[in-house]
Amino acid sequence: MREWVGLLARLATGAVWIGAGIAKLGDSYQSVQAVRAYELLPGGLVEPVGYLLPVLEVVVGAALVAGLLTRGAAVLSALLSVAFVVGISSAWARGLEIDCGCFGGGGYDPGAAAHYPWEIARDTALLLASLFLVRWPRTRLALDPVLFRVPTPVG
Amino acid sequence: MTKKNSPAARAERAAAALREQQRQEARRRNTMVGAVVGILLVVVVGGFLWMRGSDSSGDIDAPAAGSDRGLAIGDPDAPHQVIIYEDFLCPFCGQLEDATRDGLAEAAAAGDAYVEYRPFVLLDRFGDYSERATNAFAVVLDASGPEVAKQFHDLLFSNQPAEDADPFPSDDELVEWAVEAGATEADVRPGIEGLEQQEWVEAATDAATDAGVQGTPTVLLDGEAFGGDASSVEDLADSLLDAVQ
Repeated sequence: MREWVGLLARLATGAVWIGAGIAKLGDSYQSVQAVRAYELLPGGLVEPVGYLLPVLEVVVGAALVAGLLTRGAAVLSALLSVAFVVGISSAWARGLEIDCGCFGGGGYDPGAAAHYPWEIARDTALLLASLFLVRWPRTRLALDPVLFRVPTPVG
Repeated sequence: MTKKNSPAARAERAAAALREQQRQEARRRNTMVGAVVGILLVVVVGGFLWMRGSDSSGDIDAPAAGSDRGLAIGDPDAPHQVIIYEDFLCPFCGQLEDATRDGLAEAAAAGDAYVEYRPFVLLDRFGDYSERATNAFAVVLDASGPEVAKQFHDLLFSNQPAEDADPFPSDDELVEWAVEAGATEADVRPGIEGLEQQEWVEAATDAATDAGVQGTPTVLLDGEAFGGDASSVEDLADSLLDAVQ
């Protein structure tokens, strides 16, 4: 039963990350602008993070959907979720009105503060699903058991 | 004395063989994990390099300051040239203006910088304010000259509406600010209300697009895109002032 729940967690979080990443993959400039709008990172990191984030999201998402290196992918997924929760909470606390840039877009967004609670809730759900997979990485219909054979039991 | 083929010896050999098999399987598994991680790393690094390479926002091919697509202040022979592509509705441009208006004016007056403001229409998805404001700017520039236009430009930014303002400032308000900047009402009202400089606005917008400008504010210092490594608009403003003063 738990392995089916795990499958669900994998597919749901994986799909979200893939969607989020693909939305930003084609527009490097916009991705960087979205990161800059948070006013959280030192200047030298804004561009590298802007370039890396969509790529990482797609790779982590794909690994989760495929059930490949599930625990590791889930750890990265959890870290990404925490980063977004921290980022959006920080923007909210400082009174910034920005589009989180989670699915493309990003930058100033009037009335954005109304979206923050929903976005934080969504990212918290992603975090919880990821932590579930870190704790119970064995799931149904995954690539892991196909590629990494379970060790021969003793006796 | 233990004979070679006693049950104890056989059991020990079997156990040793099993342990060896487990070691080999663990090695194979670790190698497999390593290979998969390696492949994923290559994909991530490759993707990162591709994203970085496809960011063309730094390749701006813009005419030098002193064009007829904007408003320039300062001495053309100043050691630094600053070009600012902006949209009158863009809040980041408003922030940049607030932070640099005085500093850039001082630098221009002191002969340290030649600064050209190039407003154009980027944010037309919010309505027609951007177009009307840019048109009004062009009208004032044409009718009342660069000094009044600079005052009007500054007033447009210090009175900047929110992107979701409803309603946006009216043509009457635009005319009011033009008069406040020093324009004669009769010279500018028809042009502002009638969108008479629409061609200028469209040409300025096309020129910005052709130059490779992707967003606002886009700042060029001495012909090169400036501020890619700014942590925020405030940081961009500080760095810009540091560079020219």
